[in-house]
Amino acid sequence: MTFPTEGTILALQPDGTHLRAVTVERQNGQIRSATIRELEPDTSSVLAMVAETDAVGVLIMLPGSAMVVRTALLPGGSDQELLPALAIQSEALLGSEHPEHRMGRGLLPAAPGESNRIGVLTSWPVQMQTNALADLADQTEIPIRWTTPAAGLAGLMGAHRPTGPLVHADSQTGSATFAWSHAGGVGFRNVLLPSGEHWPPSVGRAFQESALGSGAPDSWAAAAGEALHTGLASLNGSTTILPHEVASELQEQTGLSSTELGTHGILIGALLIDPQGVGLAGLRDAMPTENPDFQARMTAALSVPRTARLIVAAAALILVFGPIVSAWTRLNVVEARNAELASMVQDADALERSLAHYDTLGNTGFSSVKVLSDLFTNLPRGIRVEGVRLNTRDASFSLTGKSIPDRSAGVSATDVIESMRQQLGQDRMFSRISLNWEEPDAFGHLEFTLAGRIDKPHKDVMYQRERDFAAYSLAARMYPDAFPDDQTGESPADPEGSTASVDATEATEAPAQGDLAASEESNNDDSRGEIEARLNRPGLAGGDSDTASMADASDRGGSMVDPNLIPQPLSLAQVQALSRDEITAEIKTFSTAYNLLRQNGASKEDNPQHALFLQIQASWKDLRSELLNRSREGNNR
Amino acid sequence: MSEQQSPVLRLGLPAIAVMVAYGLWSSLLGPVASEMHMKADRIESDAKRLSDGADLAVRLGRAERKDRNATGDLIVAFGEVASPPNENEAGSSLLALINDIREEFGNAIREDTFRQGVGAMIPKTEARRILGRDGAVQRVTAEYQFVATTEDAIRILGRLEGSPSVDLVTEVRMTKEDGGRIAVSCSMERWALASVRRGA
Repeated sequence: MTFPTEGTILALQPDGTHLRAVTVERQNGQIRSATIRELEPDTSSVLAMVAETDAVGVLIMLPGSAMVVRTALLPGGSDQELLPALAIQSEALLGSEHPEHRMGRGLLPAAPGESNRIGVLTSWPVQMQTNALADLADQTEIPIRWTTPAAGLAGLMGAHRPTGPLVHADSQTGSATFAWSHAGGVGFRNVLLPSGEHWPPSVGRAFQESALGSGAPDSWAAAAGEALHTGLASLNGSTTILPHEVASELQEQTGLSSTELGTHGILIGALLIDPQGVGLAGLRDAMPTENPDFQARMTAALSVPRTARLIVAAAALILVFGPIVSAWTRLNVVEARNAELASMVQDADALERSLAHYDTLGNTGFSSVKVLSDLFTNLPRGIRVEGVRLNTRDASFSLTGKSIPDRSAGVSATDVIESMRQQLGQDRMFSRISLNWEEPDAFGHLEFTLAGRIDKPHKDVMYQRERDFAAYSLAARMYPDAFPDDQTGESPADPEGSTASVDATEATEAPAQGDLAASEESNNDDSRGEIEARLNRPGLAGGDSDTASMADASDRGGSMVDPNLIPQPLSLAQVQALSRDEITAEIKTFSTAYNLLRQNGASKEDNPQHALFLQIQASWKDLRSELLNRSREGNNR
Repeated sequence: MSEQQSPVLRLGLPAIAVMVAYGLWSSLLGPVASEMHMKADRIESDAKRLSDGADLAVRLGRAERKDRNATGDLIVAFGEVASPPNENEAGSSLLALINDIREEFGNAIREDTFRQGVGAMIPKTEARRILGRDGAVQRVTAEYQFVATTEDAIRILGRLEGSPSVDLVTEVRMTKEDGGRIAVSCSMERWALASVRRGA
């Protein structure tokens, strides 16, 4: 990870129980401003400061006691030309035991008129470990670099060649680093002397020796050593002593005071000499390791021939057998999930074929029995069916028969036919109904032919009880006494059993006492609804008319009537002896018996009960005549 | 000095090898995989058809309820239906049905006659739906005439129409006769697999 040249750099230097810090704003590697701070010497404080200042890099100053510094005199040239030469000299000057990440190399900017270049070499021996901030690199993603006081002094000196030395001294560790210019260039030295009261004069003497060794004049060396002795006498901690010309320029550049430069200037200097953190300010605590991304790792792995061959072989196997394996797996999963599918599919297929069969049947035709049942259900009493034709292909039907009037109920033959037509069209099951009939015969019977279409043959009509001959049979309607179970309150037409039929008869007969003709006329004016009600009402089938439908033909097939249901015939004298109420009651009884015998074929001469039928008929006529006579007599009175 | 292979050999041989390998694969292993995929596709298709056929169950469920729909009415009206047999079986089953009716009603049936023939074909689309596959469905027709009481006549008609041996009663003629009896002429048909395709 490269050291950024833009943004805020946090530079740190341990100082006793504190941590000196400078936040430096840089642009293109140039310092724009610097701010001094003091921190606790622990990692959390540093991380908090990093977060607060949005620092993009951290530079930590090593103590002078943990470094080695050397200088090399190089010929004139550019940095790109001279740095490789300096790298070659570094092994000779520093030794070969220093790893690359613990060595720093840099060139002092050439001073005006200077023909040679000064190379500075620093090293951080591996045995010298830092105690504070050692774990900082593990807790932050921003780059961490280490530097030395020599690098700081080199940066502070820059292209200056001051007459006085630059010194960084630490009274607590006893280390002192000097940088001074002399006739042969610039000298650097780092010394470690016992701290204590003799430390300042020792530092002064060490500088004097160094200066003399570099060829400086004796007087200058002695004066500088004495001045250094004096300056460090009251020092407690670390400080940087800068010549005036160097300090003033730094003050202008950073805005720091001379005191602040004395305490924090060494950090500024390190950033000045190596803005990119690759040389003198580019030391690292540990060997940098690469952390390539997945793509890079894969590329590296595939670059190994053996691995590549294995992968190609695996790919070929997948290519050959993959489709089969995937198909087999899919088939097994699908079969496991649909274990019962085969039988279900067979059932569903059979079901769908059956439904298709029914649909085709429905489109092709219909149930003739069902439609016949509907047809007969819609025939009112008074219709005698002679023939029926039903075609399921063209959905047509025709019906021939006779319409028989019930004069006693005031129902004409045409009324019966009209009622039939209305009932057939009522449920929209039949349509286009056409009717033809001839002149009535001597009994008023109309022979008719009815034809029509079957529109909704599948319609399930819920017939009312009065129209439903299955729920309320014709026999029950005609002989309520014989079917007491059917004469429950469910039948609105006959709530009181056979009494209703008698009442109906009496209601028809009663007006005849006064004016029978008027009564009949009145009955003829009844509404269609009333006529239909009468047609479906038990007891209206009296007289000579045969109102049973074809469906009930079997009910009158000639079987014997139970004699217990037939009353004893009455003579005319017996009838005349009865009261009017008794006559009315007897009419009801004989009417029922008469109809019962007639429907069972007793009206035919070959029937064994024919004689009984004639007797009952005679008694019934006598009763009726007597009732009419008494009614006329009452009216005349 | 090593010999330099020509580009034809250097590229052609691997290309031929690849083609041969692909040919072997497509003739030996490919069909196996395709067959298994087709089988799995068929199972999934059937499963989807069954799940989509929920409306079928709904239709049948409605048919069992009182407020049944048209299909339910048809099921109630026509009774049990059977898949089309071949023509011979259809004719035999019709005859067997008439014999059963004769045996059941005995002397209640008078003057009965039975005729059998072959009618038109069922339309192809309907035939395909009924059979669940391609095929031709033939109408085997029959006419049964008899005299019986009204009650027996209706019962016989019900037996005919409710029998799986009769698909459809196409025409009914009933004429009243003396003695409380009626003469009935009943035309019916049974749908059968056509032995020979017509118009093919």
